[in-house]
Amino acid sequence: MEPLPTSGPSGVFRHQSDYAFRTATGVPFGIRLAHLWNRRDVIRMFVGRGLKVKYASSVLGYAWSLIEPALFIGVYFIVFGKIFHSKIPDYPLFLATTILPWLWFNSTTTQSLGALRSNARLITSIALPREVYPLSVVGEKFIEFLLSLPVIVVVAAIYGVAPTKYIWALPLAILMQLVLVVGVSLFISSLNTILRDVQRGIGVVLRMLFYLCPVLYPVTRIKNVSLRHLYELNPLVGIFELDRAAWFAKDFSEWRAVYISAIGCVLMLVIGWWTFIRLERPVLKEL
Amino acid sequence: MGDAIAVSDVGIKFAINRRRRMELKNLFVRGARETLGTGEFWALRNVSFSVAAGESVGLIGRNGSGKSTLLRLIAGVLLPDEGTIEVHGGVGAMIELSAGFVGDLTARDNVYLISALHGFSREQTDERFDEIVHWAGVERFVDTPVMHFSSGMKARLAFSIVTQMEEPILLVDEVLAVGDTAFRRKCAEVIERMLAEGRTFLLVSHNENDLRRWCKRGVYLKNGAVVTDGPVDDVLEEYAADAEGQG
Repeated sequence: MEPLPTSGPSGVFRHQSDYAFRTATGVPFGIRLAHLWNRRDVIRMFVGRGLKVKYASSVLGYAWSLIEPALFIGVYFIVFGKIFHSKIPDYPLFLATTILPWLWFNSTTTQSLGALRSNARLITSIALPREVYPLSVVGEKFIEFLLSLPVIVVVAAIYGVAPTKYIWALPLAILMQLVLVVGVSLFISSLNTILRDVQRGIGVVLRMLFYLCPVLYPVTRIKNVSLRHLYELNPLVGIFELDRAAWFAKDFSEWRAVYISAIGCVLMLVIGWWTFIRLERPVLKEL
Repeated sequence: MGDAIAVSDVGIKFAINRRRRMELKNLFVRGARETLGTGEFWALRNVSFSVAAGESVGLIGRNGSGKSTLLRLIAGVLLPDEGTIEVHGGVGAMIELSAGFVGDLTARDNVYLISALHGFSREQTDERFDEIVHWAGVERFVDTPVMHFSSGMKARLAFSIVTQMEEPILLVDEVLAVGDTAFRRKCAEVIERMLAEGRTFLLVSHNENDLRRWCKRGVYLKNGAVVTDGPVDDVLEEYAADAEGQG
């Protein structure tokens, strides 16, 4: 028999995973992860493309990443700071510390709805680890969030507030939120493909969630202890407390919410990925 | 080396009507995958066959017999509800006319995007780019969004991209039917060259001439099951007799 071309006559070596095994029970998670890791180049490309389109196709480009959170801070400052006379000191900075991560969470969730559906053409014609599509959304929104962080620094400079000794809490908060949004994105993108009601529902959920997070007010406003413990089950609460502690040390009271949040983030990652795998077959049929 | 493709006991089912509840059941009920819910049917069931490396096989059958579904399973863009599929080697799949084109991207961007998704670096695509658009005859339209392409142009570009990838396994689904005579002749040249190079080839077609010309072996699918698997001439004969019998 003739020698076989295994990687093309030109000897181009591409993916290591030129052997594919598909079964009704699915491949072990480790192998799945290895496949995904092998194709991280695709995620990088999608993220780069997404950012390029966003920043190159609008006149203001990158400025939007600063203007959007600044406008939100302005609006909430006028409504709650001025009209409702909030007594929270340095209120714009107080808002900035949590509005940015909130916008990050919000945009990742919203964009994830269509992560699989809008790429149906590619998904149904090229075999890739399907996770690359939601994870590309996560990556793009994460970079946009990082690029918007100067807003906090500027607001802090305006109000002459220096970072507290809890500044290390900021990277921790970002890491926790990253774990959370990966889980949410995998969950939402797969579920929305087969259950279109998710798209409608998520708008309402996000709006309610916004008020159930310590964005406009500090956690300490919730005096009732059992109510507060219930409130802290929302993993965003612990994350936002950390975000805020980097600038407002005295508002950071307890670790409890942080532990719960960390557990919640990991749990969401597990649930999200599990759902994604379980729904992979029906999703591929649906697209 | 052995088999390039090994399909064993594969089954896949679809919903007749689009009721989501069935699919959600997948999430919570273990074993829901193996049983047939109401409003579902097996598009393929108990399908087993293998293709040796370097072999060329034609899939034959009426519309809706599961040929394309089988090709999609081998290409990895569908997953089986039963059984296993093993594929040794990279797959170039010409399954959809569009090859996954993104309509509002230009031909150039699409070539780079699809190549990247197949694992080519920018530089590798740079090297092949001229060849790809030249073969497809779309040099003048490289910066035109693909949605403005005629179906023939799309098919040419898709075929050009897929074959330029030089994957050891080539899956082709019926797509050659849309092209004009000149395109078909060019495709034939490429396919013959690839066969001569010892690539594994799986063709879905209703064109008997193509099947006889390129495939030594035929697999006849009927209602989601393999009826005959043998020399292509015999299988085509049986298919023809069967079709006549059914009127």
